[in-house]
Amino acid sequence: MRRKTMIAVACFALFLVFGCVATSPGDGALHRWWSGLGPVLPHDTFPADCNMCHMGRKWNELRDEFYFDHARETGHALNGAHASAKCLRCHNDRGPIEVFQSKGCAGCHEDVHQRTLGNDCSKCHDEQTWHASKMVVDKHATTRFPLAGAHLAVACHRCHEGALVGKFRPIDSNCATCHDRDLQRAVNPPHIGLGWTDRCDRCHVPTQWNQARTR
Amino acid sequence: MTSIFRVLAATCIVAAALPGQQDETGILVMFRVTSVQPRGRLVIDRGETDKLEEGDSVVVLPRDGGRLSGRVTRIEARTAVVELDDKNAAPPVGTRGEVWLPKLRFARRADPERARPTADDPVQNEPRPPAEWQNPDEEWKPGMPLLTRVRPVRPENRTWSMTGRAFASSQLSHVPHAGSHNSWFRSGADVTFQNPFHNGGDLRVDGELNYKTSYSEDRASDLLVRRAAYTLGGTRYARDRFDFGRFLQHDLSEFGVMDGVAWSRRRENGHRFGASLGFLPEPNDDFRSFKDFQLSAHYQWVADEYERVSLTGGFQKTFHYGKADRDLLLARFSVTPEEGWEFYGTTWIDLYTGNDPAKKHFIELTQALLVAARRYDDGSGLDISLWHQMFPDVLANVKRYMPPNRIASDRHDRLTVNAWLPRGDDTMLRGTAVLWNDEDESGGSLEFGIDKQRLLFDDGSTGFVFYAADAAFESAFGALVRTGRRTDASRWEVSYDFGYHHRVGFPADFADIFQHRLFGEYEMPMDGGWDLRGWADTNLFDGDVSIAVGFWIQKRF
Repeated sequence: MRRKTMIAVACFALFLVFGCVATSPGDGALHRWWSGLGPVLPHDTFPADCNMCHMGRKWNELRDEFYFDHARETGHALNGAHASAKCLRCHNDRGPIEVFQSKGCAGCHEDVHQRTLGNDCSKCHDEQTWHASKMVVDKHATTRFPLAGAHLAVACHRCHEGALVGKFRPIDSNCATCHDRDLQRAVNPPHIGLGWTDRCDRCHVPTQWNQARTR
Repeated sequence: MTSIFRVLAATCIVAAALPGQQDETGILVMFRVTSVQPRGRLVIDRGETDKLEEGDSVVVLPRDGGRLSGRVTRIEARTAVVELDDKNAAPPVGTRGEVWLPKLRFARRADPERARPTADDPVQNEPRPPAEWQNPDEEWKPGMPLLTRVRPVRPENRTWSMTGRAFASSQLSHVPHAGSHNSWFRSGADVTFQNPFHNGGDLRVDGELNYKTSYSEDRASDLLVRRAAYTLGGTRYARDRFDFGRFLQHDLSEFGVMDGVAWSRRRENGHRFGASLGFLPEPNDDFRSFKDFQLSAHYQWVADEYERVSLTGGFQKTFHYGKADRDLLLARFSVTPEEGWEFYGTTWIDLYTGNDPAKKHFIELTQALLVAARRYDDGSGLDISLWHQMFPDVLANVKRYMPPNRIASDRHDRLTVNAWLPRGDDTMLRGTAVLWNDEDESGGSLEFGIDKQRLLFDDGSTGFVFYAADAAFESAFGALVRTGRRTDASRWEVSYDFGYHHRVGFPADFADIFQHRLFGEYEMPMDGGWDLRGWADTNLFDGDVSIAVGFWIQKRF
């Protein structure tokens, strides 16, 4: 226990150190065009006045006051973390942005759910942290197994065994599917020996699994 | 982006060349602010060439609304100085503006007789001194062209860069009366290095260390490596794409994460094809590998270069410890027009060749997701999705054991209709209807909600949701109210959910659960790419209480 706690603490400390020192070249200069990057986009159709974007004598840098109103110019607003993303994260060597834009989030973001949850990522994720909010739990109310009682306090990965790698597909809703370890550990009385492997509701209530109630 | 600027450039050029808006007396010329000076003075990118003259009235249109009026006070060939009426105004560079010019000015240019110099026109005959170039040359050497197309820098010629995120998160939850607890801590990073080896490739590493405790399982500490891959090509300059290491298969993510190598090629017409071989990690959080070997191939057809209509087919063959296991046929389609309905879906079809005792048929639709979606200009939308799932008979390890009879018969079908409709500027109506059916029974749920902006706070929203469900082991209904604020500096939300759950099969005193759930969440984006989120969740039910608190901290870079 102590060793694993220490590992967790060390891991957190490592994260903080990494987070503090991790800066990419040109970090903080969102719209600067690094000299090493060069013009990804052909400029032959740009407005004639180069000074609108570029600095004189520092051609590879954009003007301090340069601002590109993505919503106004393109009709697509950049929200959350997208507003601070470097242009090259989306506008890069892969090809015309229209191709990827037509695919929605999956045009740029890898679909870790492997196409099992649809295309509308905003049902669970936000654009600031991408961290799935509690709405995910609320969505469970529309499934065949609404979360009630102690189930609300259970981490997703306890039942969805691939949750940490993005697998949230429906699982069998029988009690033993998730409570198989409880079933194996139940020796007083010996559930498996007595053949009590289903119909858990004969003795257990969903709010207090450890303490069976006498009917 | 190219097309964006094409549109922008075309707008400017077209505006300068006269079309655009015009009426019988005037022509509208659009311009942009190129420099901002004190006391309301601006430099714009239109000048004498564009028929502007001193004294012309202009209107500047800031992005955040409003109109700033002013006059041209100095004119040069391609620029002009404007003095705004509001001396304190300072619209940013790039701000658009417009000026109406008399049609007569342009007609003069179009009249060749007037443009031609005449012998008795002293002004026209007067020799002009050559223009003197004022700007110092920048890295220009004799022999170099003054203007040239620049060859885009190739990926392998760029300086290396690093993007990604690192995160740490934890949640502690406890149900005191029942004596159960579930806690976890996770910390990891997802980092992509672009061109680290100067051959244009991307190196990606995504992993975490997690530490989990629960009342029924031993404490577990796991190093989870989700991705560790190197990718070459797949750009506009290299049609072939190679992935090595642990990666999610690029063209057909349905085939899953793999430890191995994949190749794909994009043809001139946008079609793609490819193949892969390697080991599949177990489909659970352990991600242990080198038990299940796979071979796969795929082909994707696209209707045009924008890939708005595509059909993809693939086949994956797996071997568990060398023994033939799964034959998976995969079909995917996507129709995403710019306007109108979108359709997409994937079907997973298993072929059973005699070594699968739980399955009687040769072919089975194991899994399918079909979606039809529509977005309207007024902000409303409709999603209809159909989900089908059965359980394949495979040798590959899964944590949760299912007996053969349930593998043979268990299934789950679900139809979901989700709609939302804005009413006015600050109200959104939402509704969701679900019907499901499995091997034992069927049921469904209904949910209706209203989101109201600026009800309690100017920058906040408040929502009410009513729901009812006929689920597998219970029926439930309830209501939820939530409110929160979002500013540039933070976001918070609190919600209260009251639910009544009637459990089927229990005696009356155990069957009814009244549940009160209170949830609070606070999120704070910070400077330097840091995001912090914390939450607390309390649930009162059946004489017990569950408490959960957690945080998420992330650094984007």
